[in-house]
Amino acid sequence: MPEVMDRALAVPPIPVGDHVTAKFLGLTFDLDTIWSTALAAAVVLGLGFYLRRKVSAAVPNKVQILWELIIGWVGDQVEAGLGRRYRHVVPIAVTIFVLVLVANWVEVFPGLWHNTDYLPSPSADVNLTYALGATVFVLTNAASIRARGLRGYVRAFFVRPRLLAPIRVLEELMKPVTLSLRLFGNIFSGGIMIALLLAIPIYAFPFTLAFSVAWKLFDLFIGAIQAFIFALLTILYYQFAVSQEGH
Amino acid sequence: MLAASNFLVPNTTFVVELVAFLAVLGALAKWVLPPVNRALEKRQQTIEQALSEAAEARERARRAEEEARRAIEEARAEARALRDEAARLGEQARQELRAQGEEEYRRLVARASSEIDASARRAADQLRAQVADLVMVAVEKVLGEGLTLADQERLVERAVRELEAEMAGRGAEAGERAEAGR
Repeated sequence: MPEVMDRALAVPPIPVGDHVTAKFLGLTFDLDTIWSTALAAAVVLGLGFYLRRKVSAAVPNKVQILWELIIGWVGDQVEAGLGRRYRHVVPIAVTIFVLVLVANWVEVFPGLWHNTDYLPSPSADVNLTYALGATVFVLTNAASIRARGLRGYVRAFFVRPRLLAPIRVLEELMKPVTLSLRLFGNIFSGGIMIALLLAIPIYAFPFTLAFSVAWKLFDLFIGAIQAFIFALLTILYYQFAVSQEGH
Repeated sequence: MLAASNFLVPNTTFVVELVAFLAVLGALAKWVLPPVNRALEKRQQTIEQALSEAAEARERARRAEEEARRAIEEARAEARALRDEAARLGEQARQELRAQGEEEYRRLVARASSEIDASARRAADQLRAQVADLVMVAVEKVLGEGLTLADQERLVERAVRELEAEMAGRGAEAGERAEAGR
């Protein structure tokens, strides 16, 4: 490949996993993730409190219809899989879905002229997804222990065939990891895809911008799907945790 | 430093994110979801109530319609019975009247014929008396006196018989006329 052409098509360095960080007491904080999380939380809480103020049993407004759709779906899932005893799972799954959805959608405009986004998707940072995964892990295992007792909880790993016990432990430990990394990977790679598409010089490929827009729309769709999957798996993990058959 | 450059390794932001998530969860669970659930349940109740009321109303309407149909059916049956009864009564009255009429007719005919008979007999008696007198007078005029009582009687007898035969012929004729007129 001639060197000139190589240089012409050279891609500017794309930052991967860089964050605006701050050190405090020797601890590192990803500031961009934190403020975009704050924005997502503000949107969720704003919609939530708007709903609380306008909630109506007669004629719901659009925000209420949206909330009711989500709450109704989650409620149906929980009731079908867990029963009414586990109604406290509904707010957990609803919060996960809504917060993850908004978090995935925060990054509508990628940082075109900076090394880092000013408003990156917080779910493109493992800190958020690990936090969610850890929460689900703790809650589901606590529910499992409450449902079968500590003895029953431990015994569930050692049912026949016993040889599979390490696999079962590993599977349980992998659940939060896969849960976290699936969400992270999808959103993170979405951002990289945009950066890559925009890095193609417009004289090399005139449809760069159109492709970017199309991908971004698809990325929004992925964001919704991932939020849905996270909430659904949370309910399913609860189901596995409290079902009598064991893991 | 490897850990710092690896974006798969979490840092202290993890704690911030965890707190943020739990805060949002707490706020939604405490302040947002309960009123929505209440609204949902209330609306569900309202809908259920409306549906059951609608079903009830439909049932009531159905029953009313059925009742109305039954009433119409009953009225129709009653009307039919009344019509049949009226027809029956009419027929009966007709028959009775007809029977009465025939009876009356027969009675009238019988009375008329008996009257006719009576007046004919009366007339015949009168005639017989007159004819007897006339015959007597005529015979006396023609033969003068001297006709025995036995002769007188024989003559009268003969005259009356001839007259009666004639009268009977005329009477039969009158009877035939009456038959034809009926």
